[in-house]
Amino acid sequence: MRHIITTVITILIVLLFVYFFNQTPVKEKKRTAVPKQSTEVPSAKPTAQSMTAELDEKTQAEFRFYKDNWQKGLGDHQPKPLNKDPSYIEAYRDYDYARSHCKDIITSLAIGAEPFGYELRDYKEQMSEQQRRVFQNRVTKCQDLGHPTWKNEITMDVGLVVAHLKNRMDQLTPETAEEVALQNNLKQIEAIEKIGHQLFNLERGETIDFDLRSELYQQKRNLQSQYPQKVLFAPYAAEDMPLVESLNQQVAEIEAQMKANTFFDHDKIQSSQEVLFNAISQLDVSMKNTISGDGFWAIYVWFKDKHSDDRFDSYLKSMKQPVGIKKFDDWIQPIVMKFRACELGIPCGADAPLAESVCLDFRTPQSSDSCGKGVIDYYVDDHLSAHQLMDVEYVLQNRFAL
Amino acid sequence: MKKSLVLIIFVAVAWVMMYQWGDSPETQQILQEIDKNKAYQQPVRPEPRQPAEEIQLIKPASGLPQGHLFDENPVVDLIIGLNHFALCLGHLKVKDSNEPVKLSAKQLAYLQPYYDACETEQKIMSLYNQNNIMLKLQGAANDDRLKLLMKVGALNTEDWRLIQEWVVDMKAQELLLASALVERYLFVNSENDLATALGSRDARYNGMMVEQGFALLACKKGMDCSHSSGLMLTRCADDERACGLNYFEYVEAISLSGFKRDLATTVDWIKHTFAL
Repeated sequence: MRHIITTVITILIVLLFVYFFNQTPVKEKKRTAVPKQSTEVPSAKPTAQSMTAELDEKTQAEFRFYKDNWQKGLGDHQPKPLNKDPSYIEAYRDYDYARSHCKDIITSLAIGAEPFGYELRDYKEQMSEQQRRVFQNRVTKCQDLGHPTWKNEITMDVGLVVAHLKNRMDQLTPETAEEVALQNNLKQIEAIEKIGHQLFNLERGETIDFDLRSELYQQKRNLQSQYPQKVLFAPYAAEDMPLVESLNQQVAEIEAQMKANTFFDHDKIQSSQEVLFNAISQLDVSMKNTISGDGFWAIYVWFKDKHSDDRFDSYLKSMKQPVGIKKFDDWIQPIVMKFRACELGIPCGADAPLAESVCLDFRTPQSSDSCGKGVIDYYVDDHLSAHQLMDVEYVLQNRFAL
Repeated sequence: MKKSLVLIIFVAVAWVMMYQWGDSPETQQILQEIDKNKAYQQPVRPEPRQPAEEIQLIKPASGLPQGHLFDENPVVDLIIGLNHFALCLGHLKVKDSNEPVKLSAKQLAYLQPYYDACETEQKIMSLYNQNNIMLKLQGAANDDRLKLLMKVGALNTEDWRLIQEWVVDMKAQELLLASALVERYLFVNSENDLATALGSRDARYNGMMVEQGFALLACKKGMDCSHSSGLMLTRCADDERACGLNYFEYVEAISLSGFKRDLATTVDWIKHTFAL
C-alpha cells in the first residue's frame, strides 16, 4: 500500500514539474526578439483550417488548386525548414533571396506551370546542363522559403512569402557592426520609398470637383478623336492645319480647366522634393561608406532599379557618374559593383546567390562558363582580359577611393 | 650567379610588363591619329547658342535620285537618313506625346537650337516617314544587302563572306551598317579572331568595340562626325559629356585606358579583316 502511495506521489510531482516546465521559457532566447506586430503579416490570425471552413466553394476550389500544384511541384523534395534561430543577416539573406529570385518561381509553381516565369521562358531551351542544375537549386531553395507560407496561409501568394520573411527579419535585433550597418542601409531605402510615395501623391494633386473632372476628361477625349489622320513623324497636311490648330487650342483650354480643378500644395511639394533629394544624396554617400556588403548590394540594386523609374529619374541624375561611353558604362558598372560587394564581405563563393546570378544571367553569352565558380575567381581567372581588369581596377579605386 | 639570376628575372618581368601594357606599333599609330585631332584635350566646351535659321541639319548631296539625301541605294539611304534624323525624330516623338523632357540644363542649352531647326525641317524629314520607309523597302525588295540586314536568326559563314565582300566597297557612312552586321555575326560566333586579338571572352564587350571601331573608321573616311553631326547630336541627347565634341574628342575625353587600347586593336583588326 505504502509503495502505491509513494508511486502516486512521485507521478504527481513529475506531472507538476512537467506543468511548470512548460510554463517557463526552455532557455533564454539567444537573440532578442522585438515583440512587434507587423503591419504586413498579422502574427495572430485564424488558422488555415478555420479560414477554409468559412470560404465559399469557388474560393475553396482555388485554394485546393494552388495547394495541389505546390505539392506536385515539390515532388520527392522534403522542404528544409527555416532556421528557427537565425542571426539578423541570415534572416535578411533569406528575405532578400525570396524577393530577388523567387517571385516568378513561386507564382509559376502555384499555378502548376514550369518554374521559369515570364522572364526566363525564352531561355529554357538554351540552358546548359550546368545552368539547369543551378536553376534547379534555386527552385528548391525557393520551395524551402515558400513552404512555411504554403502551410499557414489560405493562398499561395508570393507577396506573403516575402512579407513573412521580412517580418521574421524585422523581429530580430542586429548584433554585429555589419548587421547594424545593413539595418541602417535598409531603413534608409525604406524611408526614401515612403518619402517618394508621399511626394508623388502630392504632385498628382487632389481633385476639387470629381464630376467636373470626369466631364472635362470626356470633352478632351471627344476633341482628341477629331484630329485628322497623321503619318508618324510627318507634319499634318496643309489643308488640315486650321482644324488642328483649333483643336489644339480647345484641348489646351480644357487642360487649363483640369489643372484649375486640382489642388496642389506647392509649399509641401517643394519641401518634400528637397527631403527626397537629400535622402537620396545621403544614400549615395552610404553606398560609398557602408561596411556591410549586403547593405552595399541592397543600395546598388535600389539605384539600378530606380534609374528606370521616371518618377525618381531627375533625383538620381546628379548621382550618376558614368564611365566611358554609355554602353561601356552599362557593361562595366555591374562588374565593378560585384567586386566591391565581394570586397565588403557578401558571400561570393561558388554556391553564393551572387555566383548563381552570374551563372543564370541568360542575357550575357557565355554566362554558363561561370557556373560552379566563385564570382571573383571567374572574372579574374576566366573572363576579363588584362585591359578590362585594368579598367575595372581604375573604376573601383576612383569610385570608392580604395 | 645570384646577381645574374636577379637580372634575368628583372628583364623577363620588364618584358612581360611591356608586352602587357605597352602600345603595339599599330596601337601607337591609332592613338597618334586620334592625337592629331588637336581639340580633344579641351574640356567639354559650351557652344554659343545659334539662331535656328543658321543651323542646317542636312547638307544635300548632288546627283542622287529623287527622295534620296545620302545615297543612291534606297536601303543605305534609309538607314543613314534615320540615323541622321534620329535627334529630330526622337524630339518630335517626345513632343507629340507630351512626355516630360528628361534632358539636363546643359543638354537643353546645347540642343535647343537644333530642336528648333527640327520644327522647320519637318518637310525634309518626311522623306523618312513611315510611308516613305515602306516605299524605299519595297523598291529594294530584291537587294542582297537588304535581305542580309533583315535576315532573322543567326548569320552563317556564307553571310560572313558576303559581308566581307560588301564592306570592302563601302563608303564612309555605310560602315555603320557593316558595324551592325559584323557585331551580329561575332556575337553568335564568339570564338573569333577579334576575341583572340582582344583576349576578351565577353561577346558584349567585343560587340561594343566593333561598333565604336567602325564608327571611328567611318569618321576617318569622311563621315560627318563633327559636334553638330547626327551622330554626335544623338550622343549629346543621350550623354551630356558628348555635347559640343566631335567623335574623336568624345572618345578620347571619356574613355578609360584599357578601352582605348582595345579600341585601337579593334580598328587594326577591322582594317586587316576588311582590307580597309
